[in-house]
This record gives sequence, C-alpha cells and structure tokens, in this order.
Amino acid sequence: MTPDPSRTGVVALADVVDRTISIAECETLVADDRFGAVVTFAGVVRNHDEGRGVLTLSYTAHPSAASVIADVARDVAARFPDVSLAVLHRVGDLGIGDIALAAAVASAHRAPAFEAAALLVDLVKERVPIWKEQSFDDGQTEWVSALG
Amino acid sequence: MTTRADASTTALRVTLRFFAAARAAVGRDTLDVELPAGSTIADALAAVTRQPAAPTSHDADAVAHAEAVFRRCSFLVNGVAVTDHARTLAADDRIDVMPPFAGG
Repeated sequence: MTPDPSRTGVVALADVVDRTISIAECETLVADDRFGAVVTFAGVVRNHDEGRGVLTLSYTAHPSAASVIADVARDVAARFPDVSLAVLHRVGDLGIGDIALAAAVASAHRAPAFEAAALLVDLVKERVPIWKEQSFDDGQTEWVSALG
Repeated sequence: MTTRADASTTALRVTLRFFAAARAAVGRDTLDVELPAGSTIADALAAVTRQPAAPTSHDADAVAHAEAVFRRCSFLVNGVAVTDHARTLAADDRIDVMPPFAGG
C-alpha cells in the first residue's frame, strides 16, 4: 500500500544520543488525550549472548545515524498516519540492564500502535548504522554480527 | 599515509574510512589509497590489506580476518549507500566501510 503523503503520523522525537535514555521520556512525548493505546519498547542490554556471559556492550554510530533514525521514524509515521511515535538509541558504554533502544508509539486504538512499534524497532535495527562490541566474562570481545 | 599500487598506472586516489569491526581489523580510522583507473571497492580493500603501515599487513591471520570482515561490509561512496564490491571508483571518492549494523 502506498502511503498517502497528505496524511502522516507524528514523529515526536527520533535521535541517537550519548546519555541515559528512558521509556518514560518517549512515552511523555507521544501522550495525547485522543490516544487510548500506548505501546512502548525497551531494548535492554542482557547478560548473555549465544551461550556466553556478557559483561558490557559498547555502541558506536556512524555520523549519519541520527539522520537515518529520523528517516526511519518518518517512514513508519507515513505508513501509520494515526500514530505518534518517539524513538531514541543510545551509544557509548552500556552495562547489563541499561536501555539501548527506547520507543513509544501512541494511537487511538491498539492495533496500529502495536504494528507501528514493531516496524519501528525492526527498521531501526535494519537501517540505522550503529554497531556494538560485546565484552564477555572470559575476557574476550566481539563485534556483534561482524562475521555472521 | 598512502600506498602506491604502481606509479605508472596510478590514476586515482580515494579515501577509505573504517567503522567498528572494520576499523578494529585495519587498526586505523582512515586510509588513502592510490589505485589504477577502473579500480573497484574490492580493489581498494585489497590495497588496504597490502598497506605496509597497516597492522594487518605482516600477519596472515590478521589479513584473513580483515578480508572476512570486509566481505560482509556495505559502503557509503560519497554518502550514497552501495553494497556492490565491484562498484568502480572515481578520483577523490570517499568510501565509508561499514560492517553489518547491530543496533538495538
């Protein structure tokens, strides 16, 4: 389906930042009395990957990352004209439990909010030029996905 | 730092910029290489692994590792996304060498 360019959802925020991020700050930006559904997503640093213990993750971004995440957010908003969305990706050194990706999508009803949130997270992972290096509990490090 | 493929056929110089695993494999942020006319991205990457000053150049395992990382990379040529390693280059092209993205 080709989006109608005259109707688009709202991008309240889309950015790549080197600071702590929260679901709450995204949720606040999309809240509106018209919206009965708010779907949020937190991408959280976990303590294991493919059976190995993870201690920390270091995220780095290409200089274009902030403009790419803005493009992604606009594309999602264009496909879901009745939603408002906010998305933040953090870079730098993160520990277990830290939020790397925070997103909130609000809509009048839940279906478009769920669908837009899923698409938003998928496209951020697919298109935004960000990389992560894992430090394992055995002292080794690895750039995720670099070698397949 | 520039590597000279062959002075008699050198026709273009390009600048490579490395990110994440590619940067780690090469040991540098950026590298200029001089190449014969008609050279491709793959040729430029091959020149990088021959680069005398690059940490990879004297270690067969490191060269193999860099080649394995490069194989999965995509590129920005002057800011435009390119996935084809056979893409030919022009003088003064700026090539960003980017491993698969791993955000989220």
